[in-house]
This record gives sequence, C-alpha cells and structure tokens, in this order.
Amino acid sequence: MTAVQATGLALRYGRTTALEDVTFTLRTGVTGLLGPNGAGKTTLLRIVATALPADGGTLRVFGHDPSTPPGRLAVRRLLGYLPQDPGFHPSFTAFEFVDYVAILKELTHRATRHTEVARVLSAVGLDDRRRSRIRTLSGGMKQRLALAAALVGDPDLVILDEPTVGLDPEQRLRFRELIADLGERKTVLLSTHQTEDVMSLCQEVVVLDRGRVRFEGTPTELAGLAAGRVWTSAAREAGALASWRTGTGLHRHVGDPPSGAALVEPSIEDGYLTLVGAAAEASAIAGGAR
Amino acid sequence: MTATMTVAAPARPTPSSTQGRRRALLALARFESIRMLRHPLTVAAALLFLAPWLWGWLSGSANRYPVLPDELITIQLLALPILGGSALIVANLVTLRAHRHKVDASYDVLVLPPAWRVGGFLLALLPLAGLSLLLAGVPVGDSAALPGAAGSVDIATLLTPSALTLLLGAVGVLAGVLIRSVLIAPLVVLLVLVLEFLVITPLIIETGWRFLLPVYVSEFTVPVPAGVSDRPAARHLAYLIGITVLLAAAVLARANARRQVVAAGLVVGLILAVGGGLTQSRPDPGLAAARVTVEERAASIQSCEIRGDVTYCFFEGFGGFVPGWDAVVTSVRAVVPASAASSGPPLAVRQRASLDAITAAGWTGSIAEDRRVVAGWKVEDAAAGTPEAVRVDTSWGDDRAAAALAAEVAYRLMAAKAYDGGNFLCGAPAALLVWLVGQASPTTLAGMRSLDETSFGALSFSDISSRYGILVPDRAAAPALELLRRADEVAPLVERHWVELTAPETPLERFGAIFGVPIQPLAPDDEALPCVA
Amino acid sequence: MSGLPAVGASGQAAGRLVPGRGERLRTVAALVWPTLRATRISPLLAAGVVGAAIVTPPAVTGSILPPDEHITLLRLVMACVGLGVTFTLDDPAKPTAETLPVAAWLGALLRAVLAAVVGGACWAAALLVTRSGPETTSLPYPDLTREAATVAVVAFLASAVGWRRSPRGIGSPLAAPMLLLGMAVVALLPAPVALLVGTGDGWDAAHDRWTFLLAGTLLVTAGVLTARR
Repeated sequence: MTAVQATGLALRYGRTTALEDVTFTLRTGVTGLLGPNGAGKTTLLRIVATALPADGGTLRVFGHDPSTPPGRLAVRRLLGYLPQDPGFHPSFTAFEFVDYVAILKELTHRATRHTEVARVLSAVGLDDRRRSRIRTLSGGMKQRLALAAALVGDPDLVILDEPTVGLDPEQRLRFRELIADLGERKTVLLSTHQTEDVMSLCQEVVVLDRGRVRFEGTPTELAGLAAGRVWTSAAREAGALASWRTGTGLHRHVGDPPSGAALVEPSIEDGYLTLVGAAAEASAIAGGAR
Repeated sequence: MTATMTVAAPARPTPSSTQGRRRALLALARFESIRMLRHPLTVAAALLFLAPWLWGWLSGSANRYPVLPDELITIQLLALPILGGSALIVANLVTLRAHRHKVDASYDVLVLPPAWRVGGFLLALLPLAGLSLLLAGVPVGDSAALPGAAGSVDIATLLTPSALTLLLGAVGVLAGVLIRSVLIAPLVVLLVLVLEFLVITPLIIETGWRFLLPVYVSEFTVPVPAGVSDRPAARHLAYLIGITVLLAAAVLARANARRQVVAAGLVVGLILAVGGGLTQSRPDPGLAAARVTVEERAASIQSCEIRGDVTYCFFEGFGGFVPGWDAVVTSVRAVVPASAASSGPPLAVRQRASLDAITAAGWTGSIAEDRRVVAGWKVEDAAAGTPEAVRVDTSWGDDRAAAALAAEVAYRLMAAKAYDGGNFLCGAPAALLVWLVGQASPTTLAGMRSLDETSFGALSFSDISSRYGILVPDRAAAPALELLRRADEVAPLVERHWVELTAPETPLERFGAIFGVPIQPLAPDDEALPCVA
Repeated sequence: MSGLPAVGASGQAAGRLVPGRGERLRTVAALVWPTLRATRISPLLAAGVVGAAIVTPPAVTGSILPPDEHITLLRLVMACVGLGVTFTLDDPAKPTAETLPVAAWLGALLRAVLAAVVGGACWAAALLVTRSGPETTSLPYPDLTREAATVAVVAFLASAVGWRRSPRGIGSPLAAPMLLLGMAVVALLPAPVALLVGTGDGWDAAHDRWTFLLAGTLLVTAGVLTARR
C-alpha cells in the first residue's frame, strides 16, 4: 500500500532553494533518507510531517492532502514524528511527558492511555526512569524519550530525523530491533547519516542532495552504483573521489579505478559516495567553467 | 567530496597571553556591538526615538523657535526609556544568549574566560552609546540650524543620552550575570521609569538630591536664560559615567575578574560617581545673583534690536525670536486705528523671565507678589529708555504664546501703557481686546481659542509659563468671540468708537449695544472680580 | 529496548477514530492539568508582585496623589503584568508537539485562561491596594480594567508571535521587548489618537479607542494562533 506519494515538492527560503522537484513514494516498511548536510533532509521530513508547507508540488499521505486543514489533521492522526532536535518540559517526568503527548494525540481514555504510555516507555527501555524528571535524564535517554513520544498511539507513519544520535552501541542495536519490528507493519521514514543503519534496516532508500532526489531504490541498488569503482591498493590514490586507509593497512578508493586495480565489493557507503561525490564534482566543474 | 579539494592549514589560537586576550576581547566586543546595533529592538528604538522629530518635520508642527537647552532636556527624558531601555534589554539578551541557547557549557571551556567575555559585552556598549549620540544629535542639530533657535548646545548635556545608554546597558549586563531570566530586563526598565519619574522626582525635586537621578529634571517649567539654571551638566555626566564604571566593576567581580581590575574599576567609579555626585549639588554662589539680575534687572544684560519704530529687547541667545514677535506686533497694530497704533511712548517689547514663582513644583507666588514684581519691571523699563514695554515670555513658537503677546500688545495700544498684572480686565475694553487678538492673525486667533479651551471662568492670556498674563472674564470674552465672524462690519465700528471702547469705565453692555450682540447678565461671581482700574 | 507488542492492545491504541464532540471535550479536560504544569507562570507571578509593589507605597504611606498619578501607577502595573503574560506561550516542547493532531490554539487557549486567572488576580490585588489608599474611590477602575485587559491581550499576541517565530518555542525574548516597545509607541501617540490620556475631556474617546484596540487585538491573536503552523 502506498503510504506517502510526493510529486514535484519544492520549497524556497528567500533566494535559497531548499527542495526542488522532489518526487518519491513510501510504502510499508522502512525507507532510509540519506544525504549530505544541508541536502534538505530535515526540510523534507518536516513537510511530510505537516510541520512545514511546501511551496509547490503535491503530497498525499495515506491519500490525505496535508495542504488542507482537514487533510493535515487526518495525517497528524496517523503520524509519529521524532524531530532532529526534540524539545521537552524539563520539569515533567518521563511518564508525564509522553502522557501529555498522548493526550495531544487524542488518546483521552485515561487507563488506555496510561497503558499505551507504559508500553512505549518500555519499548524504548525507559521503564525504570518513568518517574524521573526529564532534566535528570542523560542525552541518550532524552532521545529515547522523544522516540517514545513519537511512537505513542501506534502511528501508521513514523518519521524519524536522525534518531540514533546520542545512543550508545547497545541502544542503537535495540533501536534497530524496534524499528525493524515497526517496519513490518508500518511505514517508517528514517533520516540518518549511519549507512549501516540503512543497510540493516531499510528496504528502500532515497538519496537527497542539494534539494533534489538523486536516487530512489533499494540499498543493494545504491551499493551497486559503485560496482567496478571501488578498489584497494597499498598507497593513497590522488585521483579518487575518496581514498582512505583501512584497518588492514590497505587503502580503499572510490572513483575511476586504474587499469588492473584490485576491485572489491562495494558497500552502500561506496554507492552513496559515488552518487554524491560525482554530483559534487560535476557541480564544481560546472562552477569552474562559469 | 572531491579529490581536488584543498584544505588550508588549520588556524590555531594564539597561545594565551594578555595581548592575545586583549585582541580577542576587542574582536568579541566588535562582534557583539554589531549584533547589538543590528538588533531589531535597537533599530525600533532608534526609529521611535526619532519619531516625534520626524512627525514634527513631516506634519509641519515642529517648533520653529526651539530653546536648545530645553530641547536637550526633552531629548534626555526620551533617551532614558527608549535608548537606555532598549540598551538595557539588548545587553541583557546578549549576556543571556549563551544560557538561552544552552551553549554555556561549551563556552565555559573556551580560551577566553568569562570575565573577559562579559568585558567584551560591556565594551560592545560603546558603539551603542555612539549611536545614541548620533540619534540625539539629529533633532538637536536640526533645531540648532533653525534661524529662530535660542540658546546654545551644551556638549555635556548632548552626551548625556550616550551616558544613559552606557549606564542602562551596564545594568542589563549586570542583570544578565546575576539572574538568568529575560523577564528581569524589561521589569528593570519599568522600575527605572517608576523611580525616575514617579517616586524620586516628586519627592526630591526641590532638593539637591535631584542631581543624583539619571536624568536631571529642570526645576523650571519654562526656558530660562543662560547662567540661571543650576544644571552642572559636566559634573552630572561624570557622575553617570562613574555609576557606569561601578556597575562594570560589579559585572567583572561577578565574573571572577582579577581583583586588581575590579579594584581599579571601583576606585575610578567611586571617584567619578562620588566626586561628580557631590560637587554637582554644591551651591553656586553666583547663581542667586544671576537669577536676581535676570528677573529684576534684565535690561542690564539684554540686547535690543529696533525694527521699524519698535524696540525688541531679549536675553542672550534669544534674538532669533524677534522676527516672530515682530510679526505679531505688526498684525495687532494693523487692526487698531492708525492713531492708536502709535499711542503712548515708543512701542517696546522686552523679554522677561519670572524664575522664583514658576518651578516644576507649580506656581508658588501670589497676586500681590506678582504685582510687586511687575511694578519693579515698569521702573526698570522706564530707566532703560523703554517705558511701558510690552512683556514677552522666554518660550515662543506656538499659537498660544502668539496670542498671549498679541493680548499684551493690544492692551498696550488700547491703554497707552503696559498691563500691570494681577487683576481681571473688565468691561468694554476686555471685549475689545479679545476681538483685536482674534482679528490680528489666524495664528493669534488659533492661540486664543486654544487658551479658551483650557481656561475656566475667564480667558487667560497666559501660557503656564507666564504669571502675568491678561485675564478676561468669560462674560466679556463671549460677545467678542461671537463678533469674530462679522469682521467686515465690526472693524469700522471699532475705529469709530475706539476712544469709548478703550475707556476703562465703559461697561460691557455698551459694547453689546454698539455691536448688537447680547451680553449675559452679571453673575454674583462676576461682581466680585478684581478689575484693572 | 524491546520490540513493540502487537497493535491494537486496546480499541483506542492508535487514536485512529475521528473524535466526536464528546471525545474532544475529554481531550480538553485531559489537557488542563498538564498544560497548567507546562505553562511558565512564575514570570507572571513575579511581574505581578512587582506591579503590586509599585502601587503599594502611596497606599502604605497614605500619600494623597492626584488621580492621574494613580492612573500612571496602575498603567505601570498593567505593563508589569503584560510582561509576565508574554511568557505564557513559551513551550520548549514545541518541536516535539507541533505535528500532533490536537490544535495548537487549544493549548494556547488553556494557557490564556490560566494567564487570565493569574494576571487578573495580580491586577485585582493592585486595584485593592490602590483603593486602600486615601482619595482613590473615584478612580475610573472599569475603564482602567479595560486598558489592562487590552495590554494583557496585546502581550498574549506578542507571546503568540514570539512562539510562532521561535523554532524552540521560546518566544518571550522577542515578546517582552515587543510589548515594551508597543507601550512606548502608545505613550508617544499624538493627541488625536492618544490612548494614555488623563482624566478629562478626552477620557471617553480614548477608551472607545481602547475598546477597538482590544477587539482588533483579539481578532489578530485568533488569526495568529489558528494560522497554519
């Protein structure tokens, strides 16, 4: 089932183009949103999450049009959103805060709501801190609390903007488990810089760069973009798009390999670098020509 | 990411040294000052500060005869809440920025320690003070350029808005380092206004303590000639700067600055604040004598200018008013019969300042005292070769002042002598005087109507600044105001019946009979009025 | 973290059904307490205390002031309470809560009610203190209360504008100076449109203008709160 259908989305901040002709489709499952800093990922997530109206294009979320008040309300009733920089009331306890968000999600039956709040707090591993004031929580705990607030009410569309920031490795693994479970039944849009999260969680991936969609496909297809363009050697290659020394002592390169190079299997990161690096290089060449 | 990307050599902070820190401090101050100057509140406050001047300029209602020392006082009174208040709030917001944006933890580990950072905030106030000087200079410069401007611009007074900006800006920084709430700054602004204008001023206006206020409030409600005001502007400025330095020392102490720096600030601040504060209220032995001279022997210090057959005498710096006075005198003489226009001794107009009775605390004299002073002036006028001189005030430029002068001139032409002050003008002469003032020019008519609106029981040809203005009971003013609509038929009758109408004994009823206007019956209160003989 | 249990543990788990009127009322009722707790009321209380302190000296000392000076003092109280009101909509949870289905204006309305109660109490206290002084019974208290209500609504509007403009939901650093600036503008208005007049001929006309301002500000505030967020 198509959960989100975006066609030609555009947004400008004054003279700056944040998004231009963004078209993509989200279905049940986890879709990763990748892109360099400033690519427009957060802007796009905010538009899909109804926090920001687009200047142009059409957006349908479960068939609803968020540009109209009734459509927006309908979307919000189906939505869980974890912003990049979530906010809290520091004097609330963890339970009170999620309970408050649950009320704002129209969960009005007290007992049911409390059960639901307890469920999501347990799901994010904050069971034992439910009575703690938010000001006493660590950064990672606050991030998990924000995730709980996003998940309360069992939304059909979950939008997560860099949710693993501040999580330790164990919490990140548990987070993957949680999102993977969720992705079996719901539509999850996950913005992240962690390519391993994308590889392990996402069925689909969208790459955004300078406000435009550069790629839409599976993680394997994204990795495939670098097929034949990743090689290793003993020394650094000046002509490569990217070149770094790995733990084995060999240098790994992405770019146009020299003849006879020892090609290796590309990763999603290589595909991403090939895509974004080539675009950046093309842009730099175009800029130089001007 | 491209292979062609070149990376510049990383910039490293200069190893910590006093010189390096000073440079960093100045760079920080420059950065913060630009942000303060560009802050929307600063811009809005600047526009608001200039709004009255702009309004006067655009609407044409600006006074073309400003008295510069008084303009400067008004500008200070505006500068305190608007420029000072905005500096306080903006400085407070800048000081609290790190806390508000939750970056204080990362700032705390930077090379430049907190004391130097707040030092940067304090230094950043200097350009803001410069802006205040510029803003104060615009209306003052505009006024000073007018040909009708009186008095001179005192530099220390002109600098006071800048000092107020620094002082309240320092309060803002201090509030920011003491209390981490953006509520405090606006509340402090309100409290400063309460203390300045509502609590302290009314309590201490008559005492030397008033000099300790941020804004000096004049003890006179009227412009006064040079040398009469006891305002020690330079010492007051030093006092304000001293308080600012003390506040800065408190800020630095709170931020754990070096003891020597704080101590130096305290010493300098105390010297300036205590020295300036105490010496500014020290009695000036020459002041009392200067005031007596201004009030009782004005002719000895005045200059005179002759226009046609009229002599105009004025205090130093007030010569710009003469063309305005002359226009009113000419307009009144134009509506009296030719024979009356030059009746009595040669016409003279002398500027007078009555200092002891009109203070910010209100009118403190009495009618008897009033008449005694006016009698003294008459003697002085005679001795100065300008007998029966018409008196004119130290403020000029609005319709009301023009009407007051027109009434004095009309009386002088009707009675061939100057008004004695104190009593009411009654009977037909009173009604005639009102008609003459209304007929003289649109300005005098407008001024008279304005005076009438604020007078009760009698039309008082006296601005609040003047205590010797002519008083005409409403019963006498009403028929004359009625006649103003029929100028064409009234003027010939005025000329024909001039002698009868100007005779003090001619009753108001006769005025009514001549012009065919109804006269109200005499009320019991009217009978008790003391009339000019 | 553990995995999520199956969906629909309860009939309402997803809040999926479009709520009816009764459901909305229950939402409002459920919101009251957390909204009260989330609202920054301490600045309003502090400002109210300062306001009451402004009118206390004449009452305590028994000073007989002209009516216009009492009016000026009460207008300063209005400004203080107004400053407190500018903190009403400060909401650090805005980034988390801005895409939730319950309309933002509903929470704002609840906060407004709370601010009205606390601000009204502060104002009433200031009036009581003023009335306890000598020769103050004839002051035009209803008209002054109309002025106070207008200042409070303007302050709330400033708070709403600040809240909307601040990505973090903390609008008071913008709203409080905005209110003071607005009051300075009002203080400088020329006579034909003056609002801060003394008792006299222009009083009634000025209070007609206050009424228009109050009505206009209420409309603009409603517009700001219900505009697309």
